[in-house]
Amino acid sequence: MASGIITALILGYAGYAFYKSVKKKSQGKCGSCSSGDSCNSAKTCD
Amino acid sequence: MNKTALLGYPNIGKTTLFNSLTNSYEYVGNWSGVTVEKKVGNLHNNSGKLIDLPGMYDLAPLSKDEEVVMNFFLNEKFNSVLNIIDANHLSTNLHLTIQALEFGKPVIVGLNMVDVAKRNGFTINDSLLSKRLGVTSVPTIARTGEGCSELLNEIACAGESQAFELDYGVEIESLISQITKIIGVKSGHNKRWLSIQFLLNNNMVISYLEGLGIKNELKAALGNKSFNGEIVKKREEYINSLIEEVVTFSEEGKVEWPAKVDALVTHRIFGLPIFLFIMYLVFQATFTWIGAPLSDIVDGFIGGTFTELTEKVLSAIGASTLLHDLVVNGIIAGVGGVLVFVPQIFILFLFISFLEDSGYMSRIAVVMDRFMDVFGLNGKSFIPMIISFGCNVPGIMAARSIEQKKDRLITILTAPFMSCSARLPVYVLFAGAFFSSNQGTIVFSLYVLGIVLALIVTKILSLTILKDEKSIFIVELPQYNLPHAKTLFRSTWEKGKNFIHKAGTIIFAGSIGIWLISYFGMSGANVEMNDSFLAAIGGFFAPIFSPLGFGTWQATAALITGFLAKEVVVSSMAIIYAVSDDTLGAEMIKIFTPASAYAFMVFILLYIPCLATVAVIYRETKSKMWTIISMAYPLVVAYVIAFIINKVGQFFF
Repeated sequence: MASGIITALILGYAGYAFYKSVKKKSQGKCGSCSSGDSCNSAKTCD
Repeated sequence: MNKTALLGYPNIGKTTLFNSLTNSYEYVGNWSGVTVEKKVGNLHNNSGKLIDLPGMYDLAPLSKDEEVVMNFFLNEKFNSVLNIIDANHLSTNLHLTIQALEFGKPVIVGLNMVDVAKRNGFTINDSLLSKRLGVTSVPTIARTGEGCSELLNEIACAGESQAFELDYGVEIESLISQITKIIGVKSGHNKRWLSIQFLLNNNMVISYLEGLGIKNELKAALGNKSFNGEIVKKREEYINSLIEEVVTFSEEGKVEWPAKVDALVTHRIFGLPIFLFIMYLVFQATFTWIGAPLSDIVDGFIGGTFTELTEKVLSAIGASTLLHDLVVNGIIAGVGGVLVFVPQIFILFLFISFLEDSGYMSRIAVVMDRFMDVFGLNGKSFIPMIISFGCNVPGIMAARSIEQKKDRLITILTAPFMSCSARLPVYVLFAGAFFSSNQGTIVFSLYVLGIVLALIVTKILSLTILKDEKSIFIVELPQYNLPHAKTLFRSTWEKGKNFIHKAGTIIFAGSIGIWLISYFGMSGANVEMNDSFLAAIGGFFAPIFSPLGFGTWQATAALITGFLAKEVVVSSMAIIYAVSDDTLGAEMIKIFTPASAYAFMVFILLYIPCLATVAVIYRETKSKMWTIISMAYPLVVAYVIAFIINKVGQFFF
């Protein structure tokens, strides 16, 4: 039971992280923009 | 909400001040063109917002980033202007101050780098400067944060503006009056400022005024005359008289060594070899001397203590085989496989931050200007290329500071050849496994190869489809700084933490995705790796890569995942090869030869840019054709070069 819940949570988070990252990346934003931080090399986040 | 615009020349410490005055952290670099978009931050004393604008020499825009400033002045509401002036270059910086004063909003002047000015023999009477300009001026040292609290107070207290009117002479003043009358009540902006900018042929002001429906009247008033020269001359006369009053110069104590160092590091013949030697030392230190032992420690911890502890926890909770494999062979192998390289990435960023902040990188742009001229570009294009070493996305964005459309496009198309930090784990993995005693040299060679190929492509494009007029590169060399420890570590952390953030998002998700398709196959779950869906996908494309020396389904599958994010390549390999107790590097030795390993690294360096880079290329070029070209030609170049390396390398390794 516990294994099933933990597996579901991990897969759910992975799916969410994947969706969020791909969405931001397809907008031309690098990783730090995705996290809402400043960009690692220049100002690019809207 | 009170809004203050941060205005000033490029590379005079605006963003450093912005970071000190607000609760934000934006990237700073000791060269011009780092800021290409406006940024908003909340002031520390909650007195409002500060808007960091790209640096510019004049309100009449020449490049895309300068248009951002003018667009802000014309179309957005704000209460005051914080004008940062380089105390070492008052005579040039005050031209922009005059334009800010003419705009009519309250202006606060931040007299920055007063410490360097003092070293250069200049003493500025800031109270007299304030009085003569009718503003408050505050001496600051952005690097140390000196003067920031005074600036915050002045911003909070900025009241009504004092009228600033420079007498431009009878003829121009008469025209200003005429244009002012024509504008009438049609614009809410300062009419005198609009009129002067119109006479200076500021294209954005001309378009703005034409938008008010007064095009014909303005044309009739001005005729075909241009008053640019006269207006600039009057401003120069004013500035010279002002400087005579407020600045005193003494040769005593003036430091001579920067000029001597500049003569050497920007030398026509020695400049480039010195740069290459410095970078070689940086790579040796990062990958051979310091980084490798640190990575081994992290590797030992993740592969040993951490994995053992996790397995104990999983056993204690009675985890299923699926969960156990997911955590150990998916998450720990995939994410841990990339985290191992974090020490090397941080050390490299520390060195690069040091070179940036010291002022040396701007000198390299000067050295490269001469060199790049041969290839059809100028030094300005080299700055986006250097930024691309961190990440290609902001590097491509930084190309906005290039005025010439053709130069901008070529820079955008070639910037992905600059090796971003995401590709580093692949290099470190392979260089460590195949060239352990020369890791630094091998990684250095890949960076150099990227630059050389970018230059060759540039030359081909400038001679063929992107022929155009030549442009010139003018750069004001910044002062040398001994980087402040706090700034240095913050800059390094800001660059490196992106990598750690990715480990928790896209690398985590990618690792689980790869693990899932390697765990399942046509015959169900927990299949042999060779029977998995991943093997089927990789195997389908693998024959294409056989001539390059890595035609296995494992290498092909890793390459495919790299389009999403290059870091995932190593995660994929870690998951695919985590089948024995050997380390990943040891597994690689069984599959690759030294020649095919180097060919693989070169292929990773050059092949299709990642998804985020492709998207930003489309956003910047607004062209599907150039976006497709930007994906297709690197693939061809990567294939050809990797093929040559694999074939020729067999004779050497």
